[in-house]
Amino acid sequence: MIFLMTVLAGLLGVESAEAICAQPRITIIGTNDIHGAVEDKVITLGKTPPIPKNIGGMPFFSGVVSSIRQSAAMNPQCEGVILVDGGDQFQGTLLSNFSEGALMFDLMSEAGYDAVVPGNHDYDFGPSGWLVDQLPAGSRGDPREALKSIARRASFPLLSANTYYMGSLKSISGAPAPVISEYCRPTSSSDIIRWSEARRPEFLRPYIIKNVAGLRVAIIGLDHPETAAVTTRANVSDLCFRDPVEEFISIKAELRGRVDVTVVVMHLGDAGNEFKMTEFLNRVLAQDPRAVDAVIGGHTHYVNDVRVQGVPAIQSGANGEKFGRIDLFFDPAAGAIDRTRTRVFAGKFLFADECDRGNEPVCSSNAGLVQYDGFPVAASPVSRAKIEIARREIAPMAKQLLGQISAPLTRNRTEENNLGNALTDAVRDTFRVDVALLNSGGIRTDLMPGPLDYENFYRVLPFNNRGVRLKPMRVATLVKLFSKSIASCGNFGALNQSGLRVFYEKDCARDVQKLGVDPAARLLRVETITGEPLFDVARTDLNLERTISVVTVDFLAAGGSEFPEFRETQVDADLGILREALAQHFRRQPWNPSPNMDGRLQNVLRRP
Amino acid sequence: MSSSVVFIRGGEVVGATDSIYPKLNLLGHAQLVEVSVGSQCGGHGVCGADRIRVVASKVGALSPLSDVEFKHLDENEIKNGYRLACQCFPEFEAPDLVIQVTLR
Repeated sequence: MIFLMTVLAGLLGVESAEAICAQPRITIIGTNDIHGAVEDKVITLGKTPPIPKNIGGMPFFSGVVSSIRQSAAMNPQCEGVILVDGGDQFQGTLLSNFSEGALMFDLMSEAGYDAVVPGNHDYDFGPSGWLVDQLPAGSRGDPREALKSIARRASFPLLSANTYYMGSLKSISGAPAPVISEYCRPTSSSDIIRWSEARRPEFLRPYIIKNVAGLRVAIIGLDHPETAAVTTRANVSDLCFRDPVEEFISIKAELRGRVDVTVVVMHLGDAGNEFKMTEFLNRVLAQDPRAVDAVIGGHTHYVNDVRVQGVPAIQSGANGEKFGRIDLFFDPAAGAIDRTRTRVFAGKFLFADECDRGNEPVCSSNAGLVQYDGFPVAASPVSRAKIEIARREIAPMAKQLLGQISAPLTRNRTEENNLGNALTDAVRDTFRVDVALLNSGGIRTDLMPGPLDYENFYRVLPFNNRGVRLKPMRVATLVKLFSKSIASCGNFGALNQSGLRVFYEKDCARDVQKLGVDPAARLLRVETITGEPLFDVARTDLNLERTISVVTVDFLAAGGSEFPEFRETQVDADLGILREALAQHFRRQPWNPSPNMDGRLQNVLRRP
Repeated sequence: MSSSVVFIRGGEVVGATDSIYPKLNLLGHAQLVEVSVGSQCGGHGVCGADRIRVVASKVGALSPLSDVEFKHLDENEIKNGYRLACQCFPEFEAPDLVIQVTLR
């Protein structure tokens, strides 16, 4: 019966498609920031009360794509599908990281991706070896071997037009032009780069041109111009990332007359207080209102549904929970996309048994069976099998019990949070120091109540950041760090800490420019947990030259996460991968953290 | 039916947890569902600002009044079910246990 209905729906699809074939349809399916979330899972939505929902995972998503493709295949002259990803595919789960992304790329090959942009985290894995993310100092080897080896097995190309070898950049005079990684900016302001001679890494392509429904569609990939700052810098030390707008304009010049439709896939997005995707679109459309027809973004993990002059730019959250879709209709008479007909579905949940709100025009469900474009979704059995095999491989390690979580431990980028407290307490306890400091960006997921196994713990700290003991840190440095940290209203992640009580005033309502920082935030007092004052804004008798012992991660010690003040204090000892050191500690002494906050980061400003 | 701490303000439900967690104080339960209970001192029981009123519970479901609560709450408040959210812990979790709390 279902089969008959499917055939019928398919036939109806053909009829309606023929009726509109005057304007061929290109469907762009876009994902971004999947971060290794390959499996189906249950998430809870809402607060009064939270409702559990089933998310499909990669096998289900493959099925969704297959349904949309089956529908389009009924009328290939008039409908076609493109599947792209906006970056950061695999960093985040044990299942995905254990094979250094190979499983993820296998599943994406199975889903039939046409092209993907790497994103900053694709460079995280460095050389081969799942616990080795960086070549040891002075050793020879390829700092991108992990990424290159999985790129070789993928059935799709990696696109990044704005990624270049720094060493290949020459000035007009022909002399080598030294640049910094960010934006490939010349260190000498007078240098003008001869871009036609610049070389990109061999495992990347700037764009592809795909024939879809009789149209030549360019898919151009662009990476974040500040990629080096948000991955292990050593792995991209010879690369620079050119301004995406400049790069796009030169690629468009190269493509002139060769394409009908232009799609940009970028690891750049909008967030609460930054609008890099919208800015990109504004700038390129200001140059040429027909320069681009659709943008799939990424990086910020937000859902965005932007239109500039009728051109859509979308992002669909993160962690494999959502996807996006743009339907473009090409008007042959105008030789361009008819923007009045464009349909956009940004950030729609991949519910396994129902349609997300707003997806009704393309999705229907009945008794838990979901259909896209009239074709029922069947999760890919091949993808399921691949995940099962990978899961068997990690099982002995994944199931090791590390402790017990009694109540949800959750993150917060700008305020005290019980997960940050629990982790920094554990670091301080493991290494017996005065103070432990962790960046909130390195803590990647919340912990739910129940037994804590290694795999769950891995999700919280998936980066192989190394713990480092610093040489004794001056209180003056600590004061600088917290003066900055406490001012965050979201522009950067605040520091999580154990060992101190920090009192401050912050009012994010004062952030009228929406920069994500309270310009008038004030650090008032810092004391040890025993109440001994280290700094007090009202006192001058405290010795800011006194020192304390600090453990943190190498990423912060190097000045990452916008805390260059860390560089005032040198690293004293490498303590190994922080997650592994903590896991080792918890195997001896099971972790049972308190879920209650204790006011160690206290905003004393009360708004009336 | 699952257990829940339900937060009510002005007659309206402003948050409800999906479970009850015995080691988490009611301040923590409120934070889970992003409900403000007016805490000012970070959960130490110093300021007494996170005053809440428990309007429905079960006998023995909440921790007995602590010394800190006796310090901050008067007899009349105690009789009427007032507690300090940071001092008040669920004692157990049961499938149909619902703790209702009203907020100022």
